[in-house]
Amino acid sequence: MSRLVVRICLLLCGSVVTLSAQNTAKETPTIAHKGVAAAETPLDRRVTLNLQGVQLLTAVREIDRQAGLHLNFSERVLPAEARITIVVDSISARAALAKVLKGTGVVLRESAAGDLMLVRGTREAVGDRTAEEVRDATTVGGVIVRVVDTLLSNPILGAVIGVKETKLTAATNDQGYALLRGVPSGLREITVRFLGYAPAERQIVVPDTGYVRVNFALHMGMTRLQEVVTTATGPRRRYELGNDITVLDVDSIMATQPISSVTDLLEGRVPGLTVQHTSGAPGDPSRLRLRGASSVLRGNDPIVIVDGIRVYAAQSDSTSANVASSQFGGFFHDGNSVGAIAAPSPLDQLDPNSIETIEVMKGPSAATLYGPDAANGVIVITTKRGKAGPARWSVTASHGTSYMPGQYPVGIYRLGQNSNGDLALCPLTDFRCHADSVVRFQALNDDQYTVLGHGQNTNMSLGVSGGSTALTYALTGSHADETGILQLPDVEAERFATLHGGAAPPDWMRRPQQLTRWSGTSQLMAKLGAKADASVTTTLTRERQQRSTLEQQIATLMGTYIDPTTETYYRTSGTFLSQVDELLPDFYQRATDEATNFTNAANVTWRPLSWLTTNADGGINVIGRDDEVLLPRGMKLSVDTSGLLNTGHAGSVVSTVNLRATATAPLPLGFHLQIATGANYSKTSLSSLTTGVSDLAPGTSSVNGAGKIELATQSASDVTSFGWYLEPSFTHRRFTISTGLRLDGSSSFGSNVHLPAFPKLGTSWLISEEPFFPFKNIFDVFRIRAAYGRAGVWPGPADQLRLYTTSRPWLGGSFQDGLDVSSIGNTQLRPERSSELEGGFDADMFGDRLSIELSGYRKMRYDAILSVPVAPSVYGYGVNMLRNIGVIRNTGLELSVTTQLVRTDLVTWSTNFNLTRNHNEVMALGAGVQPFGANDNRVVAGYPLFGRWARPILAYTDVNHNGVIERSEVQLGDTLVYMGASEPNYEANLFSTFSFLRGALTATVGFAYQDGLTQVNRTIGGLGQSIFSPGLSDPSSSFGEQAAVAVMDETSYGLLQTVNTLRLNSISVAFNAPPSLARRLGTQALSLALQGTNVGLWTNYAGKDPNVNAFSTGNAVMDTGVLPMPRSWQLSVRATY
Amino acid sequence: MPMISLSPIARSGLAALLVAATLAGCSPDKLAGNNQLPPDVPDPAQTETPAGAIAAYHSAIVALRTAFGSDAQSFIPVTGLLTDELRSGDVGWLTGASDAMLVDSRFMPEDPGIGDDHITLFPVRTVYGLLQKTRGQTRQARGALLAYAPDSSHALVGHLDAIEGYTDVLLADLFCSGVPLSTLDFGGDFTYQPGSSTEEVYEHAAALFDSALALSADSVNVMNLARVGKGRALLALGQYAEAAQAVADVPDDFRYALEFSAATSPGTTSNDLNRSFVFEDYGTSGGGMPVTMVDREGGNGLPYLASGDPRSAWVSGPGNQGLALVRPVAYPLDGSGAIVLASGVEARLIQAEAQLQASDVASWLATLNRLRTDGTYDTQRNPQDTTQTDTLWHAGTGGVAGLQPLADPGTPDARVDLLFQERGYWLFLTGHRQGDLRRLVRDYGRNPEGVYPTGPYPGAFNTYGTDVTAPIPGAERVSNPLFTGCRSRGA
Repeated sequence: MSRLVVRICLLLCGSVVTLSAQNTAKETPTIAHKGVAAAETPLDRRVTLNLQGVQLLTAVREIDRQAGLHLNFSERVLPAEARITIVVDSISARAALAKVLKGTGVVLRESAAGDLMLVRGTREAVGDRTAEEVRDATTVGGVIVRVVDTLLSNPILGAVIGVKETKLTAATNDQGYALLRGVPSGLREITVRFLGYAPAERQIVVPDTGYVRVNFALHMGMTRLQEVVTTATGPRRRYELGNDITVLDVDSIMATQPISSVTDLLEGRVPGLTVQHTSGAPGDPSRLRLRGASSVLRGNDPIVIVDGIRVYAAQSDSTSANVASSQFGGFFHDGNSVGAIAAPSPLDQLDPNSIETIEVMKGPSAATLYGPDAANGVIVITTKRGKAGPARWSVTASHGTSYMPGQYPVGIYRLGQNSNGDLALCPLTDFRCHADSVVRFQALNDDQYTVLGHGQNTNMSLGVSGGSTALTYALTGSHADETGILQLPDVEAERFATLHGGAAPPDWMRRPQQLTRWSGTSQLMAKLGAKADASVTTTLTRERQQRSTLEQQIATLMGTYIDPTTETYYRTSGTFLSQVDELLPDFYQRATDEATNFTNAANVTWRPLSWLTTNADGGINVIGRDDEVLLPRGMKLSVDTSGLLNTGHAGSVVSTVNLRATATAPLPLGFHLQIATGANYSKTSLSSLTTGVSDLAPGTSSVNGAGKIELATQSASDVTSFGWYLEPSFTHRRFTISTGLRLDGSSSFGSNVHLPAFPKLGTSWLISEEPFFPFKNIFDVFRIRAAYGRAGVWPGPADQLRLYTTSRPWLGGSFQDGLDVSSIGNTQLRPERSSELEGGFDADMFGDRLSIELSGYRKMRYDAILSVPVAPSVYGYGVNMLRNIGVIRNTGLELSVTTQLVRTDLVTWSTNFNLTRNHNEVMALGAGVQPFGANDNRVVAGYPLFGRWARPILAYTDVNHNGVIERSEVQLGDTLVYMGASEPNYEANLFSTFSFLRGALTATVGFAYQDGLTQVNRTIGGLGQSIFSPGLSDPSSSFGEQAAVAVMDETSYGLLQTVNTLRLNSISVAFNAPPSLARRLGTQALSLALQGTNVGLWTNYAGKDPNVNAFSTGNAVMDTGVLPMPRSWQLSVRATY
Repeated sequence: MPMISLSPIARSGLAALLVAATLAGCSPDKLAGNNQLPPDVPDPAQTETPAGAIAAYHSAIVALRTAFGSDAQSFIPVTGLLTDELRSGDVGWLTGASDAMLVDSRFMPEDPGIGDDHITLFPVRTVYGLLQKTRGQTRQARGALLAYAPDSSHALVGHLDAIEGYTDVLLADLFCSGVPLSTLDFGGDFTYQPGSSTEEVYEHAAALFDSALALSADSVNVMNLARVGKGRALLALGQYAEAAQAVADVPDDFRYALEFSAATSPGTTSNDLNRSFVFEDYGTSGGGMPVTMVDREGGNGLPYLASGDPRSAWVSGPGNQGLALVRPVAYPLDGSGAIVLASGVEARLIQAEAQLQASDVASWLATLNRLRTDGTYDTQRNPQDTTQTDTLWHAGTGGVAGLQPLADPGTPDARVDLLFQERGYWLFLTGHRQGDLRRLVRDYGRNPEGVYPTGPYPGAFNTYGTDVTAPIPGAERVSNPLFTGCRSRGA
C-alpha cells in the first residue's frame, strides 16, 4: 500500500519528503554540493562500481560504503522496484550518485553541518523557515510543513495541518510554514486542509529524534463550498446557503489576467451578469445587468457594498453623464442619439489592487435582507486585510498600447455631376444625376486622415501589509494613466496653426482622450481584547477624464469622401454631397470630469458570550465631481470665437449604519439554531449644479468676466431608507434551512406608499455526506439547494405627486406668474415588488477535478414602475405618467463548470466555463396600459422588455422595370413586428489556464460568446450617411438592399440584426520566476506577463462591433458604430517582497 | 471576566428579546424620515394658494396663445398651409417632401398607432399637442381657482371656459371627426375619452361658451368673447340664426386679441414663450417651419397678393434657398403684435351669413359693406417697423382705404362665394379659413377639390392630395385605449 502511495506521489505530487539527522538542511540543485572546492569532501572521493541489475537501494548503499558518506535516507524514498546497471571506474561519489539517481526524482542534499541526505523532489528550499522554527525543530523534533499553492507557488496562510490518528494540529504562518511537535515516530499520515483548495495528505516517516520536512502544493478547489461568504447577516459557509453566490478571489485573477477595473474583474466571471459597454473611450462606464433587466424607472443597477457600507455606484442614472456636457446640446456620437457624454463609473473608481474578494448576489433570493433596492443584485467588495507578520510588500507595474482593430465600413459613393456641374452623389433612384463612377472610400482607414491612432496605458500599484496579532494593516496605492486612441491628424493640426498665427493646437486637442486615476486604500484591523475586534477601511480615489469633440469627428470622417487627385473634401448628408474646406469641422470643445471618491468604513465586532456575536458597521461614501465643457475663446475661428464654458458640480453622499446581532443555540435532534437580527440605515443624497456662460473674457477659461450667462440648473435628491430584519436558521450537520423577514421604510413622499414585509427562505442539503448517497465513488461533494426571496423597489420621492413648473410669461403688458403642470403624478402608484425562486446543485467529482454548479431561476417583477406616455388628449405631448405597468419575468439557467484535467507538478490545466441563458418577458401590462415605447425600445406584453420592433418590408417589385427599387415599389407593413431582444439570450465565457513547471509559466485565455442580441446598426442608417448601405448607390446591390434604403426613413427594419459574437477577450502569458531566482533578484516572488485584451472578434454582425452602446444613461442600448472597445497589449511585472 | 452560561432555552429567550428590542418602536417609515421632498422639487403645496391659482390661469391664456399663433407650428401657420392662405417655403429634398410641404399639399396620412407616432407629420402633432395642452391647462386652472380662490374666480373661470371652448372649436376645425376630449382631473389623475365627432366637439364648445356667459357677467370682454365663440361654434353646426343671435350684442369695435411680445422673460434667454410665429424664420432654414404667402394657391385660392386688398397687405424679401419670402404686414419682424381671436367684425360676418341663409340679401350685403365702408385700419402701429399695419379694424372712422362697396353677384352660389371671400380677407391669417373651407364642403355642398388647393403641386409630389382635415396623431391611439382613430377624414 505504501509503495502505491509513493508511486502515486511520484506521479502527481512531486512532493519533498526528507528524512534528516539533527540539523538544518539546505537544498542543493540536483546532486548538489556545498560549493567547497578547496578541500576534498566525502562526495569527491572516488568509487568504482560494477553492478548488474541490482536494486537501486543496493547501488546507493555501495556508493555510501565506498565513499564513507554516511547518507541519511529512508528506504521508502527510493523506488523499490527500480533496478540498475552501473559500471564505472574511479569516479567521484557525487557523479556516481548522479548516475544511479537519474530520473528517480531523488536528490542529494547537504545540511549546513555537512550531513548528507537523500530526499525526493528537486525544487523546494528549506531555508525559508524562521529562526524560531529552526530552533524548535532542532531541539524538540517533529514535522515542518510548508504549504504553497500550485498555480503561483504562493505560500498559504492559515492552512490546517493535522496528523492522522493523533490530535496534533497546527496552522501555517504567512510564509506557509507550520511546525508540529511531538509527533510519534514511524509512518505517519499528514493532512492539509485549507478553504478553497483541495485537501491533501501524505505519508512520511517521522524519526525518533530530529525532524522531518514535508512540502505540500495545494490545488485550488473548485466549488469552494467550505468558503466563508459575506451575507447581509454576517459571514456564512457557502454550503449553508440556499442561493448561489459567485465569489471572486481577486488576487488570483489579477495574477494571471489583464485587469484594470472592477468591471474587468466581473466581466465574464459571473454567470448571469451582462456587461454593456458604452464606448471605447478611456474610463467610459459599463452597465451591469444581473439576470436580466426588470425595471426601467428605478434602474437595473446592482447595489455595491464595500466593507459593509453602501457606496454610490449607479452606472445608468442621470449622473452617469458628464453633467456639464448636456447643456450645449451635448457631445454627439452620431448627431442624434446621445445627449451627453459619459463619465467614469463610480464602481471603477475602486482600485482592484486593493480588493481581496468580490461576492455577487444576483437577485432577491440572495439579497432580500440587503434592503429594498437590492432586487437588482448586490456586489459585496471586501478590501485586502493585513496578516500578522513582517511587512510584506507587493509591487505591480504595467505598460501597454491600444489601437482599433480591423477596418471601418467602407462607404460606397456613386459619383456624378449635378445640374451645376458640381460633384454629386447619385443615388440609384436619382435619374437626373449623371453618374460616372462608383468609388469605395473610408477616411478612417487612411493613415493620413484618420483620427484613430495608438493609445498608451500605464498602471502602477504598491501595497504593503503586515502587523502584529493585535493590529494588522494593509495599504495599497495605485496610479493609472491612459491615453486613448484618438489623435488629431497632422493635416488638421497644420490647418489649425495656419488659422491661429502659427500656434500649434494644444495637447488636449492633439490627444484629447486622457484618463488619470490615483487611488489609496488603507485597512486597519485591531483586536480589542479576546472578544472584540475593530477595523477601519479608508479609500480615496482621484480621477480625471478628458475628451473632446474630436470623438464626434469619427462619425464625420465616416461620411467624408476625399478626392484622391485634388485632395478635396466632400461630406455627405443624407444623399447630398457637399464640398467642405476643412476635414474636421469641430475638435475645439473639451469635456473633463474630475472626481474624488472617498469612502470610510468602520466595523466593530463584539462577542460578549460564546453564543452571541454583535456587529456594527458605519461609514460614509462621498463622491464629488467637477465637470466642465470648454470651447475656448478664439479657438474655433470658423464660427464662434467668443467661447463657451459649462461647469457642473455633481455630488453624492451615502451614509450607512448597520447593527447586527447573532445568537446561536443548540436544539434537540442535532439541530442548531442561529438567529440573526439587525437594522440598516442608509441615506443617499445626490446633487448637481450646472452653469453655462458664453462670450468668455479674452485670455480666460472661467465664468469670471463672461459676457452672458446661458443657463443655471440645479437638482438634488435625498433618499433615506431604514429597515430591520430577522433571520432564524436551522442547521443540521448536512442540512440547513434558513428563513428571514425584512421590513422597510423609505423617504418616498406621498400617500399610502408602504412596502410589505419581505420574506426569504433557503435550504441546502449536502446529500453526498448522507450514508445512503449511492455515488460516492463519483461525487466528492454533491449538494442541492433552493432559495426564495422577495424585495421591493420604492417609487421616487415625488413620483406620486402632481408637480408644477413656474414661468414668467409676458401677458397683458407685463410679466406675470405662470404655473404649468410638469408632472401629472399618479395617486395610485405602488412600489415595485420583486420575487425570485432559484434552485440548483453543486457537485465536485473525480477527485476534485471536475466541478459543476447549475442554477435555475425565475425572477418576477410585479407592479413594475414605468414612465408611460399619456395620450396627448390629456395635456399635450411630452407628458408621461409613472404607472405600475404589470409583470416582468426573467427566467434562466446558469451553468458553471470548472475542470482541472491535468494537475501535476509540471503541468496544470484548469478551465472555468460558464453559460447563462436568460429569457426576459413582459408578462402583462397594467390595466389600460397600451404597448408603448420607441420602436427600438418597446414594451409589449408577451415580449422582452425594450424589444426591437419595426414595420416590415412585405414585398418589393421593380414594377416599372427600370432596374431600381424605388419607394413606390416597396410595400411596407402597417403593423410592427418583433425583431428581437435588446439583451443577449445566451452568454458563455471560458477561461482556461495552463500552468507549466509548477507555475513557472502560465498562459490564460478568456473567450466570451453572446447570442441573441438584436442590435440597431446605426452605421448603416443612423449616421445620416446612407453610403454604407449598398442599396443606395451600388448598381450591383440586390433589390432587397435597395428596398431597405427606400424605406429607411420610415422603418428601422433594415438596421436591425440579431447577432452572435465570439470574442477572444483576453490572453496572458506569464513567467513566474522560481523562488531561487526571485530571491536572487531580491524578491520573494516575481512574475512577468504579456497580456492582451479584446484580442479577437468573430461575429455575423455587419457593423463594427455590436457591443457598443452609446447611451450613457438610462436603459437604451444602441450601436452607434463609432468607437467600440479598442484592442490593447500590455507588459506587466508583479513582485512581492 | 467569567463566561455567562445559559441554557439553550435561555439563549432562545434572549434572542427573542433581542428581536423584540429591535422591533420595539421601530416604524421604518418614521425612522427613514418620510414626507421629505427633494430640495429641487417645487413643493406643490406652495402652489395651492390664490396666487398659485391665478398663475395657473395665466398659463392657460399663454397656452392658448402658443397653440394659436406663437409656435412656428401652431394653428394659424398649419391651417394656413392646409388652405390657400400660405405655402410651404421648403424645396424638399431628392427623396421626399418636407412635413410642411406635405401639409401644404394636403397629404396627411393617418398613423395607425403602431409605434412612436412616426407617420403623423410633425406640424400636425405639434398643433394637436398644443391645443390639447391648452384644454388640460384650463381644467387645471379652473380646479385651482375653485379650490384656492373661490371668492374671486367667477369671471376667471368663465374666461377659462371660453378659452377651452375656443380650443374645442380650433380642434374641430382642423382635425378629423373623432377628436378625443380627455380630461386632466384636478385632484385626481386623468380620464381618457373616446373620439368625439366634429359635431359633438362643436356642441361641447357651445356648452362651454354658455358656461362662460353665465359666469362672466362682470366682464364684458369675456362675455363678448364667449358670444363670438358661441356664434362661431353654432355657425359650424349650421345653426345660423342661433349663431346670429349669439353675437347680436357684440359691439362692432369689440376685439379679443392675443397679444404677443418680443420681450424675453426674466430668467430665461428665449422669447419663444411670448412672441408670435415669425415669417422671417422662413429665411433662416431651421428657425421653424418655412411658410410664405401665396397667390391663388392650387387654382382655387384667393388672390391674396394680386388683389392688393389691404386686409392681406404683404411685403416681400429674400427667403430660403433662393426663394422669395412674402410676408403679411400684419405680422411684424420681431414676433410682437396681436392676433385677433374674436371681434365685432367676425360677429357681423356671422350675422351676415345668417342673413344670407335667411335669404335677406339686402341686409347681408349691407352688413358686408358696412364693414368695408364704415371702418378703418390703423397704420404704423409700430414706428420702428414702417411696413407693419394694424390688423385691428376700427368701426365708424370712415372707409377702409382700397375697399369699395360690394355689389350683389346675383346668384346664391356667387353670394356664398362672395361671403366666404369677404371672410377670407377680413379674417385672413386669424385661424378661420380652414373652418370656412370645411363648412363650404360640409354645409354648402361644395366639392372639396373646388375649394381647397388642387392640381399640380411643385416639389416632390406632382399633385395635391385630397385631405381636408388633419389626422389625430398616432400617439393618441398608442396610449388612449378608448381612441380607435378618425371616424371620418371628410369635412
